[in-house]
Amino acid sequence: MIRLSGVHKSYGAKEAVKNLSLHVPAGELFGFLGPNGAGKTTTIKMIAGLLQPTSGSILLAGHDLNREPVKAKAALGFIPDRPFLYEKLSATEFLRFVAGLYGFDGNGLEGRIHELLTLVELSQVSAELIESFSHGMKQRLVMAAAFVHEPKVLVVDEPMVGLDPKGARLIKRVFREYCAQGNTIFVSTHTLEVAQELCDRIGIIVNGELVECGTMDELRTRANTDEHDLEHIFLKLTGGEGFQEAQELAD
Amino acid sequence: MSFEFTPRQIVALLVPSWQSVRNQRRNAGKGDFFRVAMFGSLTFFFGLFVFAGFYRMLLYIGRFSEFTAPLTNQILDTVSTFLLTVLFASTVITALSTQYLSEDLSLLVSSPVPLPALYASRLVITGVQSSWMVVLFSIPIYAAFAITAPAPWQFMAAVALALLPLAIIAVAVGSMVTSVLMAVFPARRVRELLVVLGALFVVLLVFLIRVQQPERLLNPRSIYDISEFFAAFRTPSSPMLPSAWATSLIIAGRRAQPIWTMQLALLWSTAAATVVMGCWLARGVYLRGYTRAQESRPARLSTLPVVDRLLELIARPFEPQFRSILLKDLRTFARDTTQWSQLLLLLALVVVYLYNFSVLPSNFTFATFFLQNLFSFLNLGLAGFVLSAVAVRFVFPSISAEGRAFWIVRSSPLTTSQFLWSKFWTAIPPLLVLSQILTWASNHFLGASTFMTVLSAVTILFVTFGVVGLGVGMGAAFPKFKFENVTQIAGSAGGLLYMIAATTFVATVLFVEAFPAYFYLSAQYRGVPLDGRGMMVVAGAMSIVVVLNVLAVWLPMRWGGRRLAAMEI
Repeated sequence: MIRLSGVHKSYGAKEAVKNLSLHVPAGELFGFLGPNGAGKTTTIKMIAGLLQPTSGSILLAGHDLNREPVKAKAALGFIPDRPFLYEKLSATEFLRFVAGLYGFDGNGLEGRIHELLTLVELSQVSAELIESFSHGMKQRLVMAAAFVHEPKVLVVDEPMVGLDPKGARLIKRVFREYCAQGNTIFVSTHTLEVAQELCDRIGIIVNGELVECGTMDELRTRANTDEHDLEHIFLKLTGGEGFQEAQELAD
Repeated sequence: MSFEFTPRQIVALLVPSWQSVRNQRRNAGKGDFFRVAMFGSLTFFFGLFVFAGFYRMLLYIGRFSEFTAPLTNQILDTVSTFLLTVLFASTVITALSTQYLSEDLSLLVSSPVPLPALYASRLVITGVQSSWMVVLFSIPIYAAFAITAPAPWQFMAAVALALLPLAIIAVAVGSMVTSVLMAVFPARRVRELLVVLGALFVVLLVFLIRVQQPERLLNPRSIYDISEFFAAFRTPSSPMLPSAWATSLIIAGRRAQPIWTMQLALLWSTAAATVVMGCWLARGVYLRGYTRAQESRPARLSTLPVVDRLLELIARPFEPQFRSILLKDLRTFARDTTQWSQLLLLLALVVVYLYNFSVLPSNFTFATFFLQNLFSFLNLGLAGFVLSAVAVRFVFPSISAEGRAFWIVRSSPLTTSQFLWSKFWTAIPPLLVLSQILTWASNHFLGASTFMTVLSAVTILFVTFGVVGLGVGMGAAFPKFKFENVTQIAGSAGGLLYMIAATTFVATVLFVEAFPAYFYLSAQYRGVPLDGRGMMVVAGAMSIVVVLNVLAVWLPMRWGGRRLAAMEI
C-alpha cells in the first residue's frame, strides 16, 4: 500500500532524509518513531504530497505520487499534527468541501458526513463555525475529514496531540477497525505507549536514516534487551541512554 | 499587583520588538529589498505630491495679502485636527492587535511584570505602528508652509514640539477606548466592529474630500473657493481640543513669537496625563479585556439559511471540485469581516470614479470631437488601472487566502492547475460586471461616441481576463500563507510586483489600440469611410490585443502553477 524507494530529501547542504526505503503492506498499522529533528515530519509530508523528495519514489495504493499524483492522492487521507482549517466554515460545510475535493457528491454524502460527525462526537456542533472550536475539536474534525472519502491509506502525524483521554481512546479504536478492513495507516508519533499498543511494526529514524524496522519482538532482539518497555528499547536504539541515565540521576 | 514600575522594565519589554526588527533587517533577502525600495519610492512620490499640492495652494493664497494670515491659520488648524482624528482612529484599531491579540502576550501576561509597565510598553509599540505613517506624511505639509513663507527656525521647532504630544494624546486616548471596548465586548466582535468602522471612516474621508472638489483650488477663479473648501471640510474646532493648542503653538512659532508656554504646558501635561490615565485604567481593566480576548466566540448559527441556499444555487451547475472551492470561497468572504468590509472601499472607489465624470465642467460635452474621444480613450486606461487596484485587493490574494489550511488542497487529488482555474473563474464574473459598469457609465458621462464606447467595452472585457489571469498567476507565484488578516497580502512584495505588471499590461493594450482608434476617428472626423489599409490596421491591432490578453492569462497561470506546485509547505 505504501512503498518508499530510495527516498532522499535535502535542504541545501542539509540532508533531512537519507535513502529511505520502506514497504507498509495492506492492513498494517505502521509506527514511525524518532527523536526531534530526525526527519519524521519531512517523511510524512513527502508521503502526503506536501513536499517533493529530492530523489526516490513514493507509491500509494500502487500509484506513483510523482507520476500519477491525482490517483495516488485520491487513495490518501492525511491528518497533520496541527489542524489548520478554514475557520469560517461550519463542521458540516468543511466535510462537504473536503468530499468535493475528492469528487464525492450527492448520493449518500450527507449520511456519511452525519455518521462521521457522530463518530468523532461533533454532531451537536455541526452547524457552528470552526473558529469557535477548541484544538481537540479541530483535531477530531480533521480526523473525520480524512475518512470522508474512504481512503485506502491514512497518514497521521502525531495523532494524540490536543486530544483528551476519551478522544485518544476513540482514535485508537477507529485506527484498529480501519486496518482490520484491509487499509493501511502510517503514523508518526512521540507517544511511545501509543506506538507500542497500536502498531504492528515500528520504524525508527535517526538523523534522516531508518536505523531499525520491525515488530516489538524484533526490535527487542536487535536492542539486545529483555525490557518490554518501548521507551527503553527506543532510547537504546537511538543512543539516548545517556539522556535516560541523566534523567534518573536527576530524579 | 503594584502600580510602581521602573523605566528599565519598559525598556526590557521593548527590547524583543527592537531586536526582531533588527534581525529582520539583517536577514533581509532580495524580496525584502525590493519591497522596501518600492514602498520607499511610492512614499517619496506621494510625499512629493502632498508637498506640491500644499505648496501651490499656499503660494496662491499668498497673493491675497488681506486673506493670507487667517486662511493659513485655518489650514494649519484643519491639518492638526485631521492628524489628531486619523491618529486616534488608527490607534483604536492597532491597539486591538498590539495590546490584546499578539501571540507573545501570553508569555508577558504570565510573567511577574506589573500590568501598567506591560501596558506602557505596548503603548509605545502601538504608538509607533499607528502613527509613523501619519507623522511621515505631515512632514511635506509643514515643509510647504516653511518654504512658501520663509519661516523662522522656531516654526519647525514648534511643529516638532506640538506634534509629538498631539500624537501621544491621540495614541493614549485611542488605546484607552480599545481597553474599555475590550473589557465590555467579546474580542472578535470588537475586532469586526473596528474593521467595519475603520473602512467606513476611510470611505467617509474620501467622500468628504472628493465632494468638496479640491480641483477647484487649482482654478484661480476666486480666493473664496479655498475658504469655502476648508470651512466645509473642517471639523468644528474647540479651544478645548489638543489640536487647537497645537495650532496655536505652531502659529506662534511661525511668527517667531515667544508665547508658547501656555500651549506647550497644556499639550505636554495632557499627554503625560493621558499616559498615566491609561496605565491606571490598565490596572483595572487590562486583565479583564485580555481574558475576553482569549475566549471563543459563543456558538451561533453558521449563516442565514437563505444566504446559504442562494450560494448553493449559484454553485449547483458546476462539477464537485470547482463547486467545493467556489462555495468555500464565497462563504469565507461573506463571513470574514476583513474581506467583505473591503467592498465598502471598493464601492467608494467606484462612486468617486463615476462622480469625477459627473462633475466635469458643463461645457465639456461641447468640447471638440477629438478631445471627447481622447478623454474616452484615456478613461479606458484609468478603468484598467482601477480594475488592477481592485484585483490586487481581491484576486491576487485569492491563493494566499487559503492560509495555513492550504495543506488540505495540496494533499487532495485536485491538481494545482484545477485549483488555479477555479480561482480564475470565481473572480471573472464580479470583475466583468464592475469593469463594464465603469466603462459604460463613464463614457455616458463623457458623451463619448458609440465607436469609443463599444471599443472601450470590448477592450475592458479582454483586459479583465488578462488582469485576473495575472492576478491569480502571480498570486500563486508569490503566495503569503502566513498573515494576520487578508488585507496584508496586497501590500506584500508580490502584490506590488503584480500592480506594476498589471499597469504595464493595461498600458501596452492601450498603446496597441491607439493607432486603430486614431485611424478610425480621423476617418470619421473627415466624414469618409475607413479605407482598406485602415481596416487592416484596426483588425491587426485588435488581433494583437487578443493575443496579448491570451498571453496575460496563460503565461502567469502556467508560471504561477509551476511555482506553487514546487513550493514546499
